[in-house]
Amino acid sequence: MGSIKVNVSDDVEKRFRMLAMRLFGYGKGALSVAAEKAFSEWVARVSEVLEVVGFLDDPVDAIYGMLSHVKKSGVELQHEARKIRARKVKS
Amino acid sequence: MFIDSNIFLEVELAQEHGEASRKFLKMVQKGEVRAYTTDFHLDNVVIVMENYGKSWRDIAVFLASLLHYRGLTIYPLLIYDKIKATEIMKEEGLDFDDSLAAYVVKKLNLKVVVSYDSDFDGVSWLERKVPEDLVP
Repeated sequence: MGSIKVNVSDDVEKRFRMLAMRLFGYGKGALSVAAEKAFSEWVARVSEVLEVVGFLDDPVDAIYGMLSHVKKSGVELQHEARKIRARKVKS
Repeated sequence: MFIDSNIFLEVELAQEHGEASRKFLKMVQKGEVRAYTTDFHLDNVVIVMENYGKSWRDIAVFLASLLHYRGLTIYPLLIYDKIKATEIMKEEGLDFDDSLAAYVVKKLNLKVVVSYDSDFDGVSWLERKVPEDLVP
């Protein structure tokens, strides 16, 4: 069995401990069972989606300039998205 | 703080606000700033990308890029949230899109919305900031 020490916010720690103990009992191992489930679910989800595009070296630079051919502002485009949604709902 | 769709769009546009928005998102990506957005507001970006001819791969890159952000939480909106947001439409005169953002600001006690959309300026209980206010 491996061991991982992690730091989380006080709020998450409190809620995680409470739920893990209520679900898996107040004895030894409840936190590990809950953590294993959480870690496994995260690993499964992330591995599955990373198969689509792989890892990005820089996630912000990866999207920078993707719409540089469009000569409008972000707010104008956001308003366009609303109109597109509305059109799709009507059709 | 809450990040509106137009901040991601400004990074993709890489025009007047592109650099400030890029620096701001990098702060969130590194975890220097904790921020929230919603699946709905990310869908806005995808809708625009699709409308302007971006490929499935570009859309996948945008969505996957969000997984790399240390400081970003994506709030999944439920039907109950959307119904509650209509109260903000009524009370503040915002459209549905902005009301959803304002609703999440209120619900999560975030106080600040990062957006270039001045429609938020009439809402007394939140403060609108732009990336230029937040980057060093």
